[in-house]
Amino acid sequence: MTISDSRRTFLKATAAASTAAAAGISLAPAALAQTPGNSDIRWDKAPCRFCGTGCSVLVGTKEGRVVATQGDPEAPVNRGLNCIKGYFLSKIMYGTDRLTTPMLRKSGGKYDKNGEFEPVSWDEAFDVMAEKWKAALAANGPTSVGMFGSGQWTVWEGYAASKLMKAGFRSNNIDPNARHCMASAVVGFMRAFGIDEPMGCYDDFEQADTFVLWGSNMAEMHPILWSRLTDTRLTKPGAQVHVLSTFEHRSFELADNGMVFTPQTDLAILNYIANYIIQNDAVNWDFLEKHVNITKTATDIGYGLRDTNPLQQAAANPDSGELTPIDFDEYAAAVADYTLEKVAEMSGVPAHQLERLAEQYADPDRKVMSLWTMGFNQHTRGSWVNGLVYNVHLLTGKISEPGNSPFSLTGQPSACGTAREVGTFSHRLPADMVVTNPEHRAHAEEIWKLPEGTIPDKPGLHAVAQNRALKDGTLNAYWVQCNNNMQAAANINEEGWPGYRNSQNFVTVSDAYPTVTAMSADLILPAAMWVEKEGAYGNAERRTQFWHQQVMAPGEAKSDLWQLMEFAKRFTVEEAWGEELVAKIPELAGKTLYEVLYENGQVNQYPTEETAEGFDNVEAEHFGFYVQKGLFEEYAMFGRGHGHDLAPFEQYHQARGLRWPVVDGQETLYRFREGYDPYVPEGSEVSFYGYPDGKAKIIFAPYEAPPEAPDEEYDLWLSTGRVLEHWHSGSMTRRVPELHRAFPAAVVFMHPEDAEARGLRRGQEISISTRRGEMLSRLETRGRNKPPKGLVFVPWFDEGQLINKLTLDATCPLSKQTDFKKCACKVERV
Amino acid sequence: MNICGCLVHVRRDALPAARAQMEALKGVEVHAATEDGRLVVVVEDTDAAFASDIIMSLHQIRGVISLTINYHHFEELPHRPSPAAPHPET
Amino acid sequence: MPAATPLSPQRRRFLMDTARMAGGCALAGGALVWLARDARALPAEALRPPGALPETDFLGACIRCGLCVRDCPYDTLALAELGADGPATGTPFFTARDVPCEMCDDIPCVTACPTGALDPALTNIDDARMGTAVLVDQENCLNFLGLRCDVCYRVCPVIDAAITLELSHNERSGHHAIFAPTVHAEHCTGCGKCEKSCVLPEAAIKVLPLRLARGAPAEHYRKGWEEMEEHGGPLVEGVIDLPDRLPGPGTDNLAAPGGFEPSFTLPGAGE
Repeated sequence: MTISDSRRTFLKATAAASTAAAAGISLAPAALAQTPGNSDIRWDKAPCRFCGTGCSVLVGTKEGRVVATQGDPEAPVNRGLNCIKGYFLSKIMYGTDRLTTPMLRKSGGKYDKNGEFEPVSWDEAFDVMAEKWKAALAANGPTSVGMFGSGQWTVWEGYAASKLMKAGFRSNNIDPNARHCMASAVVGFMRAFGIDEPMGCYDDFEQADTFVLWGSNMAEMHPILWSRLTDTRLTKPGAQVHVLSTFEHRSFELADNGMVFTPQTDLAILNYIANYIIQNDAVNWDFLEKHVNITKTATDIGYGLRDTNPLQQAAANPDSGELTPIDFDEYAAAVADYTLEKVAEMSGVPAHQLERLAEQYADPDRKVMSLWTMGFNQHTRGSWVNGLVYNVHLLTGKISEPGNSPFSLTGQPSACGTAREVGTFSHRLPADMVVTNPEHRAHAEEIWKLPEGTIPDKPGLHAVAQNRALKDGTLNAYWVQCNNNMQAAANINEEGWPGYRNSQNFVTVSDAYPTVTAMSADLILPAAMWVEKEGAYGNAERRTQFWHQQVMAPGEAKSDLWQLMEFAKRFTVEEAWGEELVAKIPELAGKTLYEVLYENGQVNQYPTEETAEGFDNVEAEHFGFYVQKGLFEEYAMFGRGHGHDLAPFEQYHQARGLRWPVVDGQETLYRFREGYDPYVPEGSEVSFYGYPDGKAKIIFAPYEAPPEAPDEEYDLWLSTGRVLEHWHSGSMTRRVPELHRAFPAAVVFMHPEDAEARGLRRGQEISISTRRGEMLSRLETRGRNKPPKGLVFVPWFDEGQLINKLTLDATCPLSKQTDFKKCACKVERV
Repeated sequence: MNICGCLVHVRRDALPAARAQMEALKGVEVHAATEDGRLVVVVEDTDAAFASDIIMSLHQIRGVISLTINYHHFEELPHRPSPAAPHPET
Repeated sequence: MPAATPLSPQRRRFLMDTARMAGGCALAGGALVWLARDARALPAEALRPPGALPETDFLGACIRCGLCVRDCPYDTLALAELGADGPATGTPFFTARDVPCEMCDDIPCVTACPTGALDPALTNIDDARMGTAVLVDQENCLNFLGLRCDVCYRVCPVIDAAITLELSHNERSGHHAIFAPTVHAEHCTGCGKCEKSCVLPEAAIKVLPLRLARGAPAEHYRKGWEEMEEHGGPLVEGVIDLPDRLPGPGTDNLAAPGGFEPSFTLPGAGE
């Protein structure tokens, strides 16, 4: 006989109140306080744990537990609102299966790759783990160790991890799950502007006249931003919304012009728009001449598959991102192929709809905001298609000013703040620097006070390559933090699973819950999450938000930061670097990686006393200094003065987030535009200062076919994605009963006529399969998503239905980001 | 599971003692009292007794003049002890 | 008193106990009347299977065979086990908050019914009217507060017809919209997926039997604008209007009272 205490209290308070009211008796305050209220709840600010929107919330704690949350009514992003995931934030940390102790696969009291998980102490866990890492380093060198991190790490966790891998273990084999999410956007930015992240901000949602969604279902994936966009559509006369996708989804509900196109033909549509702009004399010549260089990119570049794959071998210029300067006439001639008739035919979108879309970009009096997420980024030509949308904005000069905004939305809460700005990718260093540039490496080594040549000069293994290397036995000691990559990465059957279970490898997973990935590991480390640690996230509009630790993590669970720094104590520089490098700075001899990386006089310069009064800070108390501040201030040295200026540490604890570059105590709304951006020289109006000549690049790229398309046997397109109710792999949201009830299990969304043609009925159990795997699911022909004939859509949040057993691990050859939106499948009766 | 809000009239001189006696009972909470001897009492099921039994016993407390149920909340709990709880045979 | 709920033995016991009490007599007396009456019909949230005849006809036609319950692939349907006697006992029903109707295309419950209590004329599940969803509590509905829940909308099998999101400006936040879930009873089958999935502790959207949920239009007054549209023109032909005398060029005063175009347009108008 159970009923929750809070509900019982509530019912009793109701009983008392109603009786008292009937009798005309006023209740004493003590009785009233039993109704859910604010008494003795401590409220403090934090960003939402989920998507890249970065809504601000207030977190209510009482007796060491988060008991309530509310949208922060004064926050500029969300003004007190949340989506349904944010509404249940207070429940995500309290799933009944929280991991509270390290777990090691053992049999007979010893580690055994094929043993069962048994609870162990942190000491035993790190002993076994360090032994395996040392063995790998000794046998196969630094390239045999690696880490897979997260755009959900806090800023300092990402920074500490990147430093540990690149400078500590001298391995660039560190990549974040943001590789699956934002890598194509990053390459798009770097190629077009020489500097990462959007020039505009969320204020564009009120400033634009036309919104174009390119492969983004904002209605479900960015619910609060969609609410802002919708409000503008409602209240601003003449505002229009254009939506493009390979299937009809919830964002079509608001669309003035909704277009379902054949997968991959977005490349052709964008070239048609450029062609339309040129043909109709809508080019902003002044802008183009002053601020833009024109180039074309190498073509026939393969699909990021294994080198042995026939498609890869057939490619003329595999993985080439080479840019060749061309003049305007050559560019005009290249896009001239993409006529309205031809592109309408290719894409399946009626000509008048394409024309209506092109007019919006061409009309000088309309401000256009282009928005995209995974439809563009998870694309075998993702880097190209990101560039093509910039082409259109650069041709018309509709960029870097209020309302004219090509805007790449992010999926993860700190894809920008942690993965990108900190540079936790296998080729990057903080502040947009790269490991392949000797000056960048030298600069990082100087800030980190490490010997010259510490950081390796070759990019490490990216996400997809890591799984392949695990399978091939060339990556042997592996640590996964703050993500669920066994469920998230494509082609589980052929790459991920055989990789993790390869007997040559030792895989550690840090997580708060026993996810698919954790259960595939050899060692599970229990992680503190969200407000169980002090943190910082950076959202899609360059807004960095901080929070204090609000509660203690359960049991033995520790933050990823604590784990990284503790693990670093187990290696001497001699073990990690070799004598030769140590000899360059003899004072470092005999020290541990922890001492060299984190007790370097910079990271440990702020005393524990500076931490906020009244809040716990487990890391500061454990290590004896204000770890988060030290890491942040060292990290900020990279960006200050280089276009990535972050404000002083304390200001972030005071503000509801600040948009970088923060210079002279002011935030930056629009980059590259004089008056808005402090880096733009006076009198130049616009300066794309990411490139030395201050000019952005138009990059022509043609249509190229996808690697796998439906054929006679596998006759349907398979596209995967999210639903509003669940966050990514569902490891948090599926533990909230109400969200679970709202969307309990994945289904296969299919056109009713496709179902009928296969003799299938709605609700029926079916088998969906590709060349890589098979999965059982149920058929849905109604509801929120309406695929066209020939395409099915399957959400990937459901760990009971691992759709990524079926997906193809083809990537954009430039960004190395997987295309989760296109492969060939079939659906059959079971 | 039953939760009842009851209005209890008590002889003024017996009020402090009666209140203390009620508060000592498991499943009974006194939420308010007036000087003229009215009490707002919330009664809930305990492991040992239904709220109704407890209410009956409240009548036995010295000084109680009358008791009226003003509010009754009932809900079926997810895990009932047995589907066939005892029926009253009256 | 809370609204009528299915009676459990415990509750009965409680009420009987109460009846023995001096102070509770009046209350329990009322409750007993209600108890006696209610035993003859299902509680408010109990819904009949698709195609069920109107309640009295249904009670007459249903032979309590349980075949519809047996053939329901989702275990949605159950047989009423209320009072010891009473006409509703043994008839099929479902409670949306527990297990809603999944709207099978082939409607196996109707096919199974041997007597036509579930009308065999129902062949398209979209035509079923098991009840209708009603957003009963706007004050607690998250979407009416401006949050982006709309779970009820997205689970609706007849999305965009039976439930739509009506958009309006959120005055409080200043730059967000409110997405009000709005039920259109002419398309709602009453399957109950919305009530089942409402994330609140007590659903803000509930499926009620039509007799409880819906008003009925009176015969004596018709909606002129609808009748005209249906008719394809005015119902009374040949009615004339004389032109208005205006100082300059103007418009018909039905379009613009006063004869002139308004000098301003309201936000959102004319799109």
